[in-house]
Amino acid sequence: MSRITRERLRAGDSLTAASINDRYSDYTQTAAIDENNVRDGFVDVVHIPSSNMLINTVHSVINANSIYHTSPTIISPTTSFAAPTPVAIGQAALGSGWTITGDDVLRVYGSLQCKGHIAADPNTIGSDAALDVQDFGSSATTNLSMATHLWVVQLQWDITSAALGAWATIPGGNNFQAVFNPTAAAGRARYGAPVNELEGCAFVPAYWSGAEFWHSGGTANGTTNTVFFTTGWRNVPLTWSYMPGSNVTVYGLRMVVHGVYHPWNKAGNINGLGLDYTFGAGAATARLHHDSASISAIHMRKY
Amino acid sequence: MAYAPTTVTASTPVPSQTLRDNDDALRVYLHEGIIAGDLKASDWIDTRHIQPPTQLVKRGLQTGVTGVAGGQSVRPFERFTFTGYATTGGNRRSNQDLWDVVPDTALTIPLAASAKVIYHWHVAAVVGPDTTNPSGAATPVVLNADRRVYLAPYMMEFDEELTGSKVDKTALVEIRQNTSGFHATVTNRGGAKSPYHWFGYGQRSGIMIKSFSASAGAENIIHVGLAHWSLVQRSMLLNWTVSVEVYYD
Repeated sequence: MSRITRERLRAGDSLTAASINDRYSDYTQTAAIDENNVRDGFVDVVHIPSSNMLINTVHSVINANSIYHTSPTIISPTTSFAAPTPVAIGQAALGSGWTITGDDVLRVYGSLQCKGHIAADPNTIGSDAALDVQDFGSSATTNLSMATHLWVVQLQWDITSAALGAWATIPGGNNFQAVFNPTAAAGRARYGAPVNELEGCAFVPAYWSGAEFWHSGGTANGTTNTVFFTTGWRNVPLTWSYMPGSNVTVYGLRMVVHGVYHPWNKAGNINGLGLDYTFGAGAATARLHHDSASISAIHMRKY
Repeated sequence: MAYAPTTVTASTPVPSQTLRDNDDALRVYLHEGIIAGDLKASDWIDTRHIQPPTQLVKRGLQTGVTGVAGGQSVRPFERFTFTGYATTGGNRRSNQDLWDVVPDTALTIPLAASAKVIYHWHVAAVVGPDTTNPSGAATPVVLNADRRVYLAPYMMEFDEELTGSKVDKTALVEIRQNTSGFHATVTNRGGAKSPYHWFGYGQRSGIMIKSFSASAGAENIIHVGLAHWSLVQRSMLLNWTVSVEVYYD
Protein backbone atom coordinates (compact mmCIF):
# COMPACT_ATOMS: atom_id res chain seq x y z
CA MET A 1 0.00 0.00 0.00
CA SER A 2 1.23 3.48 -0.73
CA ARG A 3 1.88 6.00 1.97
CA ILE A 4 -1.12 7.95 3.31
CA THR A 5 -1.54 10.98 1.09
CA ARG A 6 -4.82 12.44 2.33
CA GLU A 7 -4.88 16.22 2.33
CA ARG A 8 -4.60 17.97 5.67
CA LEU A 9 -7.62 19.78 7.14
CA ARG A 10 -7.95 23.33 6.02
CA ALA A 11 -9.97 26.23 7.38
CA GLY A 12 -13.44 26.12 5.92
CA ASP A 13 -13.48 22.39 5.31
CA SER A 14 -16.65 20.63 6.35
CA LEU A 15 -16.13 18.13 9.12
CA THR A 16 -18.46 15.21 8.44
CA ALA A 17 -18.76 11.73 9.81
CA ALA A 18 -17.36 10.37 6.55
CA SER A 19 -14.31 12.57 6.57
CA ILE A 20 -13.55 11.66 10.18
CA ASN A 21 -13.97 7.96 9.48
CA ASP A 22 -11.79 8.18 6.38
CA ARG A 23 -8.92 9.62 8.38
CA TYR A 24 -9.04 6.82 10.91
CA SER A 25 -9.60 4.14 8.31
CA ASP A 26 -6.36 5.16 6.63
CA TYR A 27 -4.59 3.27 9.40
CA THR A 28 -6.50 0.01 9.14
CA GLN A 29 -4.09 -1.77 6.83
CA THR A 30 -4.70 -5.50 6.58
CA ALA A 31 -1.98 -7.11 4.46
CA ALA A 32 -0.92 -3.74 3.10
CA ILE A 33 2.12 -2.52 4.99
CA ASP A 34 5.24 -2.81 2.86
CA GLU A 35 8.48 -0.99 2.14
CA ASN A 36 6.57 2.25 1.49
CA ASN A 37 5.31 2.33 5.08
CA VAL A 38 8.55 1.71 6.95
CA ARG A 39 11.78 3.59 7.37
CA ASP A 40 15.22 2.43 6.27
CA GLY A 41 16.52 -0.10 8.73
CA PHE A 42 13.06 -0.93 9.99
CA VAL A 43 13.98 -4.61 9.59
CA ASP A 44 17.54 -5.52 10.44
CA VAL A 45 19.64 -8.54 11.29
CA VAL A 46 18.86 -8.34 14.97
CA HIS A 47 15.19 -8.81 14.22
CA ILE A 48 15.73 -12.12 12.49
CA PRO A 49 15.70 -15.17 14.75
CA SER A 50 18.64 -17.50 14.35
CA SER A 51 17.54 -20.37 12.15
CA ASN A 52 19.93 -22.55 10.22
CA MET A 53 19.37 -23.14 6.54
CA LEU A 54 20.28 -26.76 7.10
CA ILE A 55 18.06 -28.37 9.71
CA ASN A 56 19.08 -32.06 9.70
CA THR A 57 21.48 -34.33 7.86
CA VAL A 58 22.22 -38.04 7.97
CA HIS A 59 24.68 -40.30 6.18
CA SER A 60 23.90 -43.95 6.83
CA VAL A 61 26.27 -46.64 5.60
CA ILE A 62 24.54 -49.90 4.91
CA ASN A 63 25.96 -53.38 4.66
CA ALA A 64 29.59 -52.25 4.47
CA ASN A 65 31.04 -55.35 2.89
CA SER A 66 34.31 -55.70 1.07
CA ILE A 67 34.66 -53.42 -1.92
CA TYR A 68 36.07 -56.46 -3.73
CA HIS A 69 32.70 -58.19 -3.46
CA THR A 70 33.94 -61.32 -1.78
CA SER A 71 30.62 -62.03 -0.08
CA PRO A 72 27.79 -60.08 -1.65
CA THR A 73 24.16 -60.37 -0.61
CA ILE A 74 22.10 -62.14 -3.26
CA ILE A 75 18.44 -61.41 -3.96
CA SER A 76 16.13 -63.69 -5.95
CA PRO A 77 13.35 -62.54 -8.26
CA THR A 78 9.63 -63.19 -8.25
CA THR A 79 9.15 -66.18 -10.55
CA SER A 80 5.38 -66.45 -10.94
CA PHE A 81 2.32 -64.28 -11.51
CA ALA A 82 2.30 -62.74 -8.06
CA ALA A 83 2.88 -59.40 -6.41
CA PRO A 84 6.61 -58.79 -5.95
CA THR A 85 8.12 -59.00 -2.49
CA PRO A 86 10.38 -56.01 -1.83
CA VAL A 87 13.61 -57.02 -0.10
CA ALA A 88 15.01 -54.40 2.27
CA ILE A 89 18.70 -53.71 1.86
CA GLY A 90 19.20 -51.26 4.70
CA GLN A 91 17.84 -48.14 6.27
CA ALA A 92 18.66 -44.76 7.73
CA ALA A 93 16.97 -44.10 11.07
CA LEU A 94 16.10 -40.46 11.74
CA GLY A 95 15.82 -40.72 15.52
CA SER A 96 12.76 -39.05 16.96
CA GLY A 97 11.81 -37.94 13.47
CA TRP A 98 12.37 -35.04 11.12
CA THR A 99 9.31 -32.82 10.82
CA ILE A 100 9.26 -31.53 7.26
CA THR A 101 7.07 -28.43 7.05
CA GLY A 102 5.61 -26.70 4.07
CA ASP A 103 8.58 -24.33 4.15
CA ASP A 104 11.12 -27.18 4.03
CA VAL A 105 12.56 -29.58 1.50
CA LEU A 106 13.73 -33.15 2.08
CA ARG A 107 16.56 -34.32 -0.19
CA VAL A 108 17.55 -37.98 -0.31
CA TYR A 109 20.55 -39.54 -2.03
CA GLY A 110 21.09 -43.29 -2.18
CA SER A 111 23.90 -45.37 -3.60
CA LEU A 112 24.09 -49.14 -4.10
CA GLN A 113 26.96 -51.34 -5.23
CA CYS A 114 25.32 -54.06 -7.24
CA LYS A 115 25.29 -56.18 -10.37
CA GLY A 116 22.73 -58.18 -12.28
CA HIS A 117 23.50 -61.88 -12.55
CA ILE A 118 22.01 -64.57 -14.73
CA ALA A 119 22.96 -68.22 -15.13
CA ALA A 120 20.76 -69.50 -17.97
CA ASP A 121 19.76 -68.35 -21.41
CA PRO A 122 17.14 -65.56 -21.38
CA ASN A 123 16.70 -65.73 -25.16
CA THR A 124 13.44 -67.65 -25.46
CA ILE A 125 10.49 -67.74 -27.80
CA GLY A 126 7.45 -66.32 -26.14
CA SER A 127 9.30 -64.02 -23.86
CA ASP A 128 7.74 -60.60 -23.34
CA ALA A 129 10.77 -58.57 -24.25
CA ALA A 130 12.17 -60.41 -27.24
CA LEU A 131 12.30 -60.13 -30.98
CA ASP A 132 12.96 -62.51 -33.86
CA VAL A 133 16.17 -62.09 -35.84
CA GLN A 134 16.72 -63.80 -39.16
CA ASP A 135 19.51 -66.30 -39.40
CA PHE A 136 22.30 -65.99 -41.94
CA GLY A 137 21.36 -67.32 -45.35
CA SER A 138 18.09 -68.86 -44.35
CA SER A 139 14.53 -67.86 -43.57
CA ALA A 140 14.75 -69.30 -40.10
CA THR A 141 14.63 -66.97 -37.16
CA THR A 142 16.08 -67.00 -33.68
CA ASN A 143 14.45 -65.38 -30.71
CA LEU A 144 16.68 -62.74 -29.16
CA SER A 145 16.00 -61.02 -25.89
CA MET A 146 16.14 -57.25 -26.07
CA ALA A 147 17.93 -57.33 -22.73
CA THR A 148 15.71 -54.66 -21.28
CA HIS A 149 15.07 -56.58 -18.07
CA LEU A 150 15.95 -54.71 -14.92
CA TRP A 151 15.79 -54.73 -11.14
CA VAL A 152 14.07 -51.89 -9.32
CA VAL A 153 15.80 -50.21 -6.38
CA GLN A 154 13.18 -48.20 -4.57
CA LEU A 155 13.11 -45.69 -1.74
CA GLN A 156 10.59 -46.10 1.09
CA TRP A 157 9.94 -44.08 4.23
CA ASP A 158 8.35 -44.59 7.63
CA ILE A 159 6.17 -41.68 8.76
CA THR A 160 4.42 -43.60 11.54
CA SER A 161 6.88 -44.01 14.41
CA ALA A 162 10.52 -44.36 15.37
CA ALA A 163 9.93 -48.10 15.73
CA LEU A 164 10.37 -48.24 11.94
CA GLY A 165 7.78 -50.94 11.50
CA ALA A 166 5.52 -49.24 8.99
CA TRP A 167 7.48 -48.67 5.81
CA ALA A 168 5.46 -47.05 3.08
CA THR A 169 5.73 -45.88 -0.49
CA ILE A 170 6.95 -42.31 -0.85
CA PRO A 171 4.79 -39.68 -2.56
CA GLY A 172 5.10 -40.00 -6.30
CA GLY A 173 5.96 -43.68 -6.01
CA ASN A 174 4.11 -46.94 -6.48
CA ASN A 175 4.26 -50.11 -4.39
CA PHE A 176 4.10 -52.38 -7.47
CA GLN A 177 1.49 -54.51 -5.69
CA ALA A 178 -1.26 -54.06 -8.30
CA VAL A 179 -1.58 -55.56 -11.77
CA PHE A 180 -0.41 -52.88 -14.17
CA ASN A 181 -2.50 -54.07 -17.12
CA PRO A 182 -5.52 -55.95 -15.67
CA THR A 183 -7.40 -56.01 -18.96
CA ALA A 184 -4.62 -57.79 -20.81
CA ALA A 185 -5.26 -61.10 -22.53
CA ALA A 186 -5.02 -64.24 -20.47
CA GLY A 187 -1.46 -64.88 -19.43
CA ARG A 188 -0.30 -61.43 -20.44
CA ALA A 189 -1.12 -59.41 -17.33
CA ARG A 190 1.84 -58.20 -15.29
CA TYR A 191 2.32 -56.63 -11.90
CA GLY A 192 4.03 -53.30 -12.21
CA ALA A 193 3.69 -49.54 -12.29
CA PRO A 194 3.38 -46.72 -14.83
CA VAL A 195 6.39 -44.55 -15.51
CA ASN A 196 4.86 -41.47 -13.92
CA GLU A 197 4.80 -43.23 -10.56
CA LEU A 198 8.47 -44.15 -10.38
CA GLU A 199 9.78 -41.33 -8.19
CA GLY A 200 12.56 -42.47 -5.88
CA CYS A 201 13.44 -45.46 -8.07
CA ALA A 202 16.72 -46.55 -9.63
CA PHE A 203 17.23 -49.42 -12.03
CA VAL A 204 19.87 -52.11 -12.49
CA PRO A 205 20.26 -53.97 -15.80
CA ALA A 206 19.53 -57.65 -15.16
CA TYR A 207 21.87 -59.02 -17.86
CA TRP A 208 23.26 -58.41 -21.30
CA SER A 209 22.41 -60.45 -24.37
CA GLY A 210 23.46 -60.31 -27.97
CA ALA A 211 23.65 -62.31 -31.15
CA GLU A 212 26.28 -63.33 -33.65
CA PHE A 213 25.70 -64.61 -37.18
CA TRP A 214 22.40 -62.82 -37.54
CA HIS A 215 21.39 -61.68 -41.00
CA SER A 216 22.76 -58.26 -41.73
CA GLY A 217 23.05 -58.50 -45.50
CA GLY A 218 26.07 -60.75 -45.48
CA THR A 219 26.50 -63.94 -47.44
CA ALA A 220 27.77 -66.44 -44.91
CA ASN A 221 25.49 -69.24 -43.81
CA GLY A 222 24.75 -70.14 -40.28
CA THR A 223 22.31 -70.13 -37.47
CA THR A 224 22.12 -67.13 -35.22
CA ASN A 225 23.93 -67.77 -31.98
CA THR A 226 22.66 -65.91 -28.97
CA VAL A 227 24.89 -65.11 -26.05
CA PHE A 228 24.31 -63.57 -22.64
CA PHE A 229 26.40 -62.15 -19.84
CA THR A 230 25.97 -61.00 -16.31
CA THR A 231 26.46 -57.29 -15.94
CA GLY A 232 29.45 -55.90 -14.14
CA TRP A 233 29.57 -54.44 -10.68
CA ARG A 234 28.43 -50.87 -10.65
CA ASN A 235 27.05 -48.17 -8.42
CA VAL A 236 23.47 -47.15 -8.89
CA PRO A 237 22.56 -43.67 -7.66
CA LEU A 238 19.09 -42.91 -6.35
CA THR A 239 17.81 -39.39 -5.71
CA TRP A 240 14.53 -37.97 -4.49
CA SER A 241 13.34 -34.67 -3.09
CA TYR A 242 10.07 -33.72 -1.46
CA MET A 243 8.36 -30.49 -0.46
CA PRO A 244 5.19 -31.37 1.48
CA GLY A 245 2.02 -29.33 1.44
CA SER A 246 1.59 -29.83 5.17
CA ASN A 247 3.81 -31.06 7.97
CA VAL A 248 5.01 -34.65 7.81
CA THR A 249 7.35 -36.33 10.28
CA VAL A 250 9.77 -38.81 8.76
CA TYR A 251 11.29 -41.42 11.08
CA GLY A 252 13.29 -43.46 8.61
CA LEU A 253 14.33 -44.02 5.00
CA ARG A 254 15.26 -47.30 3.38
CA MET A 255 15.93 -48.89 0.02
CA VAL A 256 14.24 -52.06 -1.20
CA VAL A 257 14.86 -54.21 -4.26
CA HIS A 258 12.43 -56.25 -6.34
CA GLY A 259 12.18 -57.59 -9.86
CA VAL A 260 12.67 -58.56 -12.59
CA TYR A 261 10.80 -56.04 -14.77
CA HIS A 262 10.88 -54.86 -18.35
CA PRO A 263 9.22 -51.96 -20.18
CA TRP A 264 5.55 -52.67 -20.70
CA ASN A 265 2.68 -50.92 -22.42
CA LYS A 266 -0.97 -51.17 -21.54
CA ALA A 267 -4.24 -50.02 -23.08
CA GLY A 268 -4.32 -46.28 -23.50
CA ASN A 269 -0.70 -46.27 -24.58
CA ILE A 270 0.49 -45.96 -20.99
CA ASN A 271 4.08 -47.01 -20.55
CA GLY A 272 5.43 -48.61 -17.43
CA LEU A 273 7.28 -51.55 -15.97
CA GLY A 274 5.85 -55.07 -15.92
CA LEU A 275 7.08 -57.87 -13.69
CA ASP A 276 8.41 -60.60 -15.95
CA TYR A 277 8.99 -64.25 -15.09
CA THR A 278 8.75 -65.61 -18.62
CA PHE A 279 12.16 -65.10 -20.17
CA GLY A 280 13.00 -68.75 -20.42
CA ALA A 281 15.46 -70.55 -18.22
CA GLY A 282 17.04 -67.22 -17.45
CA ALA A 283 14.04 -65.99 -15.46
CA ALA A 284 14.50 -68.32 -12.53
CA THR A 285 18.25 -67.80 -12.41
CA ALA A 286 18.24 -64.00 -12.34
CA ARG A 287 19.80 -62.57 -9.19
CA LEU A 288 20.74 -59.17 -7.91
CA HIS A 289 24.07 -59.15 -6.12
CA HIS A 290 24.70 -56.18 -3.87
CA ASP A 291 27.31 -55.01 -1.40
CA SER A 292 27.76 -51.70 0.30
CA ALA A 293 25.06 -49.06 0.12
CA SER A 294 24.45 -45.69 1.65
CA ILE A 295 21.60 -43.30 2.24
CA SER A 296 22.28 -39.60 2.70
CA ALA A 297 19.45 -37.24 3.52
CA ILE A 298 19.24 -33.49 3.96
CA HIS A 299 16.43 -31.57 5.62
CA MET A 300 16.62 -27.86 4.90
CA ARG A 301 14.60 -24.69 4.55
CA LYS A 302 13.37 -23.80 1.09
CA TYR A 303 14.23 -20.15 1.71
CA MET B 1 -3.44 -5.85 17.60
CA ALA B 2 -4.76 -4.31 14.41
CA TYR B 3 -6.11 -0.76 14.47
CA ALA B 4 -9.91 -0.74 14.77
CA PRO B 5 -11.21 2.80 15.29
CA THR B 6 -14.74 3.52 16.43
CA THR B 7 -16.85 4.66 13.47
CA VAL B 8 -18.77 7.86 13.90
CA THR B 9 -22.27 8.18 12.49
CA ALA B 10 -23.64 11.00 10.36
CA SER B 11 -26.20 13.31 11.94
CA THR B 12 -25.21 12.07 15.36
CA PRO B 13 -23.23 14.09 17.91
CA VAL B 14 -19.61 13.00 18.06
CA PRO B 15 -18.43 12.77 21.65
CA SER B 16 -14.95 14.10 22.18
CA GLN B 17 -14.15 10.86 24.01
CA THR B 18 -14.66 8.92 20.79
CA LEU B 19 -12.14 11.00 18.92
CA ARG B 20 -9.71 10.82 21.83
CA ASP B 21 -10.08 7.06 22.01
CA ASN B 22 -9.48 6.74 18.31
CA ASP B 23 -6.38 8.91 18.53
CA ASP B 24 -5.11 6.99 21.54
CA ALA B 25 -5.68 3.69 19.74
CA LEU B 26 -3.83 5.00 16.73
CA ARG B 27 -0.90 6.01 18.93
CA VAL B 28 -0.80 2.56 20.48
CA TYR B 29 -1.10 0.93 17.09
CA LEU B 30 1.79 2.87 15.60
CA HIS B 31 4.00 2.18 18.58
CA GLU B 32 3.37 -1.48 19.17
CA GLY B 33 0.25 -2.61 17.46
CA ILE B 34 1.32 -3.53 13.94
CA ILE B 35 0.85 -7.25 13.56
CA ALA B 36 1.90 -9.79 10.95
CA GLY B 37 -1.55 -9.72 9.37
CA ASP B 38 -1.12 -6.05 8.56
CA LEU B 39 1.99 -6.69 6.49
CA LYS B 40 1.84 -7.29 2.78
CA ALA B 41 1.68 -11.02 2.16
CA SER B 42 4.01 -11.18 -0.83
CA ASP B 43 7.78 -10.77 -0.55
CA TRP B 44 8.85 -7.20 0.02
CA ILE B 45 11.86 -7.45 2.36
CA ASP B 46 14.96 -8.06 0.28
CA THR B 47 16.91 -11.00 1.66
CA ARG B 48 20.18 -9.16 1.20
CA HIS B 49 19.13 -7.05 4.13
CA ILE B 50 18.64 -9.96 6.50
CA GLN B 51 21.49 -12.36 5.69
CA PRO B 52 23.13 -12.82 9.09
CA PRO B 53 26.85 -12.24 8.59
CA THR B 54 29.74 -13.70 10.56
CA GLN B 55 32.47 -11.27 11.49
CA LEU B 56 36.06 -12.38 12.01
CA VAL B 57 37.53 -9.49 13.96
CA LYS B 58 41.20 -10.45 13.78
CA ARG B 59 41.10 -10.95 10.03
CA GLY B 60 38.87 -7.99 9.35
CA LEU B 61 36.64 -10.31 7.44
CA GLN B 62 32.89 -10.33 7.38
CA THR B 63 31.05 -12.98 5.43
CA GLY B 64 27.40 -13.72 5.03
CA VAL B 65 27.79 -16.63 2.68
CA THR B 66 25.82 -19.76 3.31
CA GLY B 67 24.33 -22.16 0.86
CA VAL B 68 25.99 -22.86 -2.46
CA ALA B 69 29.66 -22.00 -2.24
CA GLY B 70 30.81 -22.90 -5.70
CA GLY B 71 31.47 -25.52 -8.28
CA GLN B 72 33.04 -26.19 -11.64
CA SER B 73 32.30 -28.22 -14.68
CA VAL B 74 34.06 -29.39 -17.78
CA ARG B 75 31.95 -29.63 -20.87
CA PRO B 76 32.06 -32.84 -22.91
CA PHE B 77 35.33 -33.52 -24.67
CA GLU B 78 36.87 -30.23 -23.69
CA ARG B 79 39.16 -31.93 -21.26
CA PHE B 80 40.03 -35.37 -20.09
CA THR B 81 42.50 -36.96 -17.76
CA PHE B 82 43.75 -40.43 -17.06
CA THR B 83 43.81 -42.90 -14.27
CA GLY B 84 45.81 -46.08 -14.09
CA TYR B 85 47.44 -48.44 -11.71
CA ALA B 86 50.78 -46.76 -12.31
CA THR B 87 49.37 -43.35 -11.45
CA THR B 88 47.90 -44.46 -8.18
CA GLY B 89 50.75 -46.81 -7.37
CA GLY B 90 48.54 -49.77 -6.63
CA ASN B 91 50.15 -51.88 -9.31
CA ARG B 92 46.95 -53.80 -9.70
CA ARG B 93 47.00 -55.10 -6.18
CA SER B 94 43.66 -55.09 -4.49
CA ASN B 95 45.16 -54.99 -1.02
CA GLN B 96 46.68 -51.54 -1.48
CA ASP B 97 44.26 -48.68 -1.83
CA LEU B 98 46.53 -45.86 -2.90
CA TRP B 99 44.51 -42.85 -3.95
CA ASP B 100 45.34 -39.84 -6.05
CA VAL B 101 43.36 -36.72 -6.86
CA VAL B 102 41.36 -36.26 -10.03
CA PRO B 103 42.50 -32.91 -11.47
CA ASP B 104 40.09 -30.00 -11.56
CA THR B 105 37.59 -31.57 -9.22
CA ALA B 106 38.70 -29.88 -6.01
CA LEU B 107 37.70 -26.65 -4.34
CA THR B 108 39.37 -24.84 -1.46
CA ILE B 109 36.93 -23.10 0.82
CA PRO B 110 37.52 -20.90 3.88
CA LEU B 111 34.98 -21.64 6.57
CA ALA B 112 34.16 -18.76 8.87
CA ALA B 113 32.31 -20.93 11.37
CA SER B 114 31.41 -24.53 12.00
CA ALA B 115 29.55 -25.81 8.99
CA LYS B 116 28.27 -28.79 7.09
CA VAL B 117 29.83 -29.28 3.69
CA ILE B 118 28.02 -31.21 0.95
CA TYR B 119 30.02 -32.23 -2.10
CA HIS B 120 28.33 -33.42 -5.29
CA TRP B 121 30.25 -34.94 -8.18
CA HIS B 122 29.69 -36.58 -11.54
CA VAL B 123 32.21 -38.11 -13.90
CA ALA B 124 32.21 -40.28 -17.00
CA ALA B 125 34.95 -42.82 -17.59
CA VAL B 126 36.23 -45.20 -20.20
CA VAL B 127 37.91 -47.98 -18.24
CA GLY B 128 40.41 -50.28 -19.89
CA PRO B 129 40.73 -52.43 -21.87
CA ASP B 130 43.47 -54.13 -19.94
CA THR B 131 44.18 -57.77 -20.62
CA THR B 132 47.90 -57.58 -20.00
CA ASN B 133 50.14 -58.99 -17.35
CA PRO B 134 52.29 -56.33 -15.77
CA SER B 135 55.86 -56.85 -16.84
CA GLY B 136 58.20 -57.43 -13.96
CA ALA B 137 55.44 -57.33 -11.45
CA ALA B 138 54.46 -59.98 -9.05
CA THR B 139 51.53 -62.13 -9.94
CA PRO B 140 48.63 -59.72 -10.08
CA VAL B 141 46.27 -60.12 -7.20
CA VAL B 142 43.36 -58.82 -9.19
CA LEU B 143 42.18 -60.98 -12.02
CA ASN B 144 41.45 -59.56 -15.41
CA ALA B 145 37.71 -59.87 -14.95
CA ASP B 146 37.75 -58.01 -11.65
CA ARG B 147 39.82 -54.99 -12.55
CA ARG B 148 38.06 -51.74 -11.91
CA VAL B 149 38.48 -48.05 -11.23
CA TYR B 150 37.29 -46.67 -7.91
CA LEU B 151 36.19 -43.08 -7.42
CA ALA B 152 35.50 -41.50 -4.05
CA PRO B 153 35.28 -37.98 -2.62
CA TYR B 154 37.64 -36.61 -0.01
CA MET B 155 37.57 -33.70 2.41
CA MET B 156 40.49 -32.52 4.49
CA GLU B 157 42.30 -29.55 5.91
CA PHE B 158 43.97 -27.50 3.20
CA ASP B 159 47.57 -28.28 4.18
CA GLU B 160 47.07 -32.00 4.59
CA GLU B 161 48.30 -34.68 2.22
CA LEU B 162 45.79 -36.94 0.54
CA THR B 163 45.85 -40.41 2.03
CA GLY B 164 43.39 -43.24 2.05
CA SER B 165 42.08 -42.13 5.43
CA LYS B 166 40.93 -38.81 3.99
CA VAL B 167 38.85 -40.54 1.33
CA ASP B 168 35.27 -41.34 2.19
CA LYS B 169 35.17 -44.99 1.17
CA THR B 170 31.58 -45.26 2.34
CA ALA B 171 30.75 -43.04 -0.64
CA LEU B 172 32.96 -45.02 -3.01
CA VAL B 173 31.78 -45.99 -6.47
CA GLU B 174 33.36 -48.20 -9.08
CA ILE B 175 33.49 -48.77 -12.81
CA ARG B 176 34.42 -52.22 -13.98
CA GLN B 177 36.56 -52.54 -17.07
CA ASN B 178 35.85 -54.57 -20.19
CA THR B 179 34.37 -58.03 -20.25
CA SER B 180 36.69 -60.79 -19.19
CA GLY B 181 38.26 -62.18 -22.35
CA PHE B 182 37.90 -59.02 -24.39
CA HIS B 183 40.52 -58.73 -27.12
CA ALA B 184 41.22 -55.44 -28.74
CA THR B 185 43.21 -56.96 -31.62
CA VAL B 186 41.86 -58.61 -34.75
CA THR B 187 43.12 -62.02 -33.73
CA ASN B 188 40.69 -63.81 -31.48
CA ARG B 189 38.46 -60.79 -31.20
CA GLY B 190 35.39 -61.52 -29.18
CA GLY B 191 32.79 -59.44 -30.94
CA ALA B 192 29.34 -60.03 -29.52
CA LYS B 193 30.70 -62.71 -27.24
CA SER B 194 32.97 -60.29 -25.43
CA PRO B 195 31.65 -56.76 -25.76
CA TYR B 196 33.89 -54.06 -24.47
CA HIS B 197 31.87 -50.92 -24.17
CA TRP B 198 28.97 -52.35 -22.22
CA PHE B 199 31.17 -52.75 -19.18
CA GLY B 200 34.03 -50.37 -19.78
CA TYR B 201 32.08 -47.14 -20.07
CA GLY B 202 30.37 -45.68 -17.08
CA GLN B 203 28.91 -42.50 -15.72
CA ARG B 204 28.94 -42.17 -11.99
CA SER B 205 27.79 -39.60 -9.48
CA GLY B 206 27.85 -39.30 -5.74
CA ILE B 207 27.59 -37.18 -2.65
CA MET B 208 29.57 -36.65 0.54
CA ILE B 209 28.44 -34.85 3.68
CA LYS B 210 30.91 -33.83 6.37
CA SER B 211 30.83 -31.50 9.37
CA PHE B 212 33.68 -29.11 10.06
CA SER B 213 34.21 -27.07 13.18
CA ALA B 214 35.87 -23.67 13.33
CA SER B 215 36.67 -21.81 16.50
CA ALA B 216 35.46 -18.24 16.86
CA GLY B 217 37.77 -15.76 15.24
CA ALA B 218 39.67 -18.42 13.36
CA GLU B 219 39.34 -19.47 9.77
CA ASN B 220 39.31 -23.08 8.72
CA ILE B 221 40.45 -23.69 5.15
CA ILE B 222 39.25 -26.99 3.78
CA HIS B 223 39.94 -28.82 0.56
CA VAL B 224 37.29 -31.03 -1.05
CA GLY B 225 37.59 -33.02 -4.24
CA LEU B 226 37.43 -36.35 -6.00
CA ALA B 227 40.03 -39.10 -5.78
CA HIS B 228 40.66 -42.16 -7.90
CA TRP B 229 42.29 -45.52 -7.38
CA SER B 230 42.75 -47.83 -10.33
CA LEU B 231 43.35 -51.54 -10.72
CA VAL B 232 43.38 -51.10 -14.50
CA GLN B 233 46.41 -50.31 -16.58
CA ARG B 234 44.97 -47.15 -18.08
CA SER B 235 41.59 -45.48 -18.23
CA MET B 236 40.24 -42.12 -19.21
CA LEU B 237 38.10 -39.79 -17.16
CA LEU B 238 36.13 -37.11 -18.96
CA ASN B 239 33.26 -34.72 -18.59
CA TRP B 240 33.29 -34.21 -14.85
CA THR B 241 31.29 -31.78 -12.78
CA VAL B 242 31.47 -30.93 -9.11
CA SER B 243 29.61 -28.58 -6.81
CA VAL B 244 29.78 -27.76 -3.14
CA GLU B 245 27.16 -26.58 -0.70
CA VAL B 246 28.28 -25.07 2.60
CA TYR B 247 25.83 -24.35 5.40
CA TYR B 248 26.96 -22.69 8.61
CA ASP B 249 25.64 -24.31 11.75
